[in-house]
Amino acid sequence: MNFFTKEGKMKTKVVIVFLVALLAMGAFSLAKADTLLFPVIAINPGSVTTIVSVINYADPSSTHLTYIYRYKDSLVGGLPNITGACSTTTVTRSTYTKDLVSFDTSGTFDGGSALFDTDAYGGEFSLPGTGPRRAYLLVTHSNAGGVPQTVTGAVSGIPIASSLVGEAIIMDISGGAAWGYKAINDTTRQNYTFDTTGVQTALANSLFRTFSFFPPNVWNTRFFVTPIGADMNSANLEATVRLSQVVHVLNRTGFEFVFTPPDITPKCTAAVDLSALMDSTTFSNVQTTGGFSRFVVSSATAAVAYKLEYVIENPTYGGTNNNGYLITTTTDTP
Amino acid sequence: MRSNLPLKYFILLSFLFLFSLFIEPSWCMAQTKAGPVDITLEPILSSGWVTYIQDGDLFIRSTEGAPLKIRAKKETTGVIISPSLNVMGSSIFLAWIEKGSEGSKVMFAASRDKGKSLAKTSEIAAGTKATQVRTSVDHGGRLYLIEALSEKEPGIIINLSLDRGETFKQIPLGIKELEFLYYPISVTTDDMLYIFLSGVREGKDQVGVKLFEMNSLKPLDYTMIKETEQVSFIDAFIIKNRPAVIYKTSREGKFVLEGAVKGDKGWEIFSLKDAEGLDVARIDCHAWEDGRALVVFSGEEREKFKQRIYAAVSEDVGRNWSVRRMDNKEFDNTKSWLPRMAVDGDKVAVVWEDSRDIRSGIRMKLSFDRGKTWREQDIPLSDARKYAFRPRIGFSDGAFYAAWDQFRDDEKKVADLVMVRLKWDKMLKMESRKPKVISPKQKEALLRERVNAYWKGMLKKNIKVTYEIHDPFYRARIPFDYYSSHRGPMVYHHYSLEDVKIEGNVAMVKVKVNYDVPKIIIMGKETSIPPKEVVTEDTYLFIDGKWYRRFVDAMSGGSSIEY
Repeated sequence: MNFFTKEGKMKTKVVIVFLVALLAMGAFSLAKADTLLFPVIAINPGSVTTIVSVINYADPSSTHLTYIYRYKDSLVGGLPNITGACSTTTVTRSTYTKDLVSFDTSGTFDGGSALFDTDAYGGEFSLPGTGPRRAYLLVTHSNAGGVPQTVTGAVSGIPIASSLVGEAIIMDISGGAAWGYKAINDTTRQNYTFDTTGVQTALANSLFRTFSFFPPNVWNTRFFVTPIGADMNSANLEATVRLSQVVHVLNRTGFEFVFTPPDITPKCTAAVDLSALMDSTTFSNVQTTGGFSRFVVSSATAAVAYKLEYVIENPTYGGTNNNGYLITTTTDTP
Repeated sequence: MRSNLPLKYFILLSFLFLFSLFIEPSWCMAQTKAGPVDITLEPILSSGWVTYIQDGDLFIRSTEGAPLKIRAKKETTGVIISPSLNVMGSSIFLAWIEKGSEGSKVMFAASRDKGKSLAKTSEIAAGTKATQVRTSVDHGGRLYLIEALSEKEPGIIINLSLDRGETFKQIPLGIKELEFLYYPISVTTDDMLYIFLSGVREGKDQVGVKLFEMNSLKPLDYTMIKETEQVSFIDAFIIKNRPAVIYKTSREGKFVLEGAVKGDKGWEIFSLKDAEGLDVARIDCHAWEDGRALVVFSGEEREKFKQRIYAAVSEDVGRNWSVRRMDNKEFDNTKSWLPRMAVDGDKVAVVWEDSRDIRSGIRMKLSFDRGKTWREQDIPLSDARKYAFRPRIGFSDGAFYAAWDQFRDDEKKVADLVMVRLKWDKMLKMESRKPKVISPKQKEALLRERVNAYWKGMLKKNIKVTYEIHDPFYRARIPFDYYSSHRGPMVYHHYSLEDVKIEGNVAMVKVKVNYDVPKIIIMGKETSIPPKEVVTEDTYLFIDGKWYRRFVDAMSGGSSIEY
């Protein structure tokens, strides 16, 4: 097409009008793929690792999740790398509705493949490369080519904007020490932008109470619960906690075990084992697989609760490792 | 030299007799093993066949012959879930779901020559949302693969084969009355397929049944049997040609076992009243043609006693039940749970997972009279040196078959599947062997000796001695070098054994100790902790004839062994 002839200019105008129309109809709009942020990934292969767990509630789900590592070397010239820029590595792996996947970002455990899991995801999840590195990780719904895909639905009771949930443990596997956190899902937008307002919506979101747990025949999971309210200098406050009657307990392949969850009422402060929050049938069903659920404070009295998970003298994880993070500061169901 | 054959024979027989007194029962049984297996899948047993996953491949095997690979990992399109096994004559049927990112597939495989070869593998459904598949065969030889779809248009799909799995007809049964459905289980009688399930309708939980007429291939209406709280499990059986269902739910904050039997005028509800308040982990059911029914289950009462084994019997087609405890252990501070049952006429064999010896093992109990009375012994079935769990039992062709998973050592990292074939007379012989008994006085003496040895070792800093007295599950994970390099700074000067309390194979020991810390660096400053006297409370476990100090992590309270 010759743009300089009268005919060429006419055709160009038609094309421009057509493109504008397409834009107006949103044909070129970005996909609204729910995205999760893991703000701290610490890796030093053989000594420090970060184990990431991701729960996918999208239904229908995209066929894949894309894991975007933004990473840099921890040290430059022997000194902490404070101001260096990040590079990007992307990994795309298959997923499905109600899948829980856990993996070691350093590749130390199981070569970076899914842990406690026999799912075929199409490869490892770890950050390739060597040496100590720091990163943050974004996880988003995508197709097999890594192109973000719009999520149009989620499992009943789960908002579409919160269809991805995650948590991480950073472990020193040579000495035996750990800490962890919940991943952040900004419910106000479904892209790669995270700002103050959006992050704070994630912290207050009831989905924040969703947690995963490793196989109880290897790891122990416990909740430290302190009811909060007036006159805490003298009052023996009581709060009632249990697992969700809507989410129940699911194993790693998304099979849901329904049961009437026992109510536990800690007074003043207490440690409640995960096994005490399940009935024996459910516990026997997830003992070798692990899974996920949601923590509930069902009383009018609120509570601050931390989830603690620990492994005892297991050389695979560097001995004894404990990890704890805040799971709720309020009363909330279901 | 004259040969004295009678004397030699006498010596040989005496030796064999004496040797037999010390052989654990499991050593006398031929065991078939396969491994390492994926323990996230419990053994699935039908008649004399078991299915399991090894290195990602799906297998079936019996106690004889080689295992048959049904599905190789590289052929699968996702993770294998919900395998279901059924044996009909020389045919073996296996169905499972492969769950992946492209949706789930329902797969089916058949062997028609008693497991010698794989006759057929076929894809029954693709892109399905099925979460569970079960196979069953009715008296007419009809084969059913029943898929369950749990949410967002819940339903059942019956895949029916009239030619032993060569072809299937797919018949969807939508259950539009329900928002969710869980745990479907089916039985057949009088050419009717009864599919019991737990469901949610208008936000309320219920147990219901969907009927399917097999001759006309027509689904009938869904019927609610009872409104309930949320249901943890459902089981179904036929009693005097009537379909029956039994399930665990809760009522007014207490766990209950309830059920229903189809009567002439509708569903007759029953309740196992003596099981009220018990947190039942699992049940297994059997009914005889004269209307007698037997349910075996394990249950606990929280903060009172751990899981123990019960039998519930009904003589009147499920209307009334009497419950009695079945297992025979002195203390309930260890778990006995997840029982399974197999029946040969009036003979009943029940197996379960038992931790009374601390290291979990499989125990078995026998009845001659359909569960009316039980033999005295809880027979150890598995090798006491191996941690064994998740047993199953079946009966076929005149023999009982049991299968379970078993860790290779106390590190509990790698497990094998173990399978045994048992004849009733052999089982009775096992039952007649009296267990080795140690008197309470002797047991306490051994404990005191062991505790003293430990603390003398602590005083003298004899790390080798103190390490060896820690429980074998801790030592299986933690080598001596690691233990010795992670001793704390405390120096012990004196101890006195204050009190011991023994309950079965678990003891609580109170010891008063005097210690100080001559030198410790806190926040960069060197300091010391002056002499202190404290009373420690330790747990000791009686394992393999010795007392061991249970390792407990100071911060979390966790341990390498749970019982």
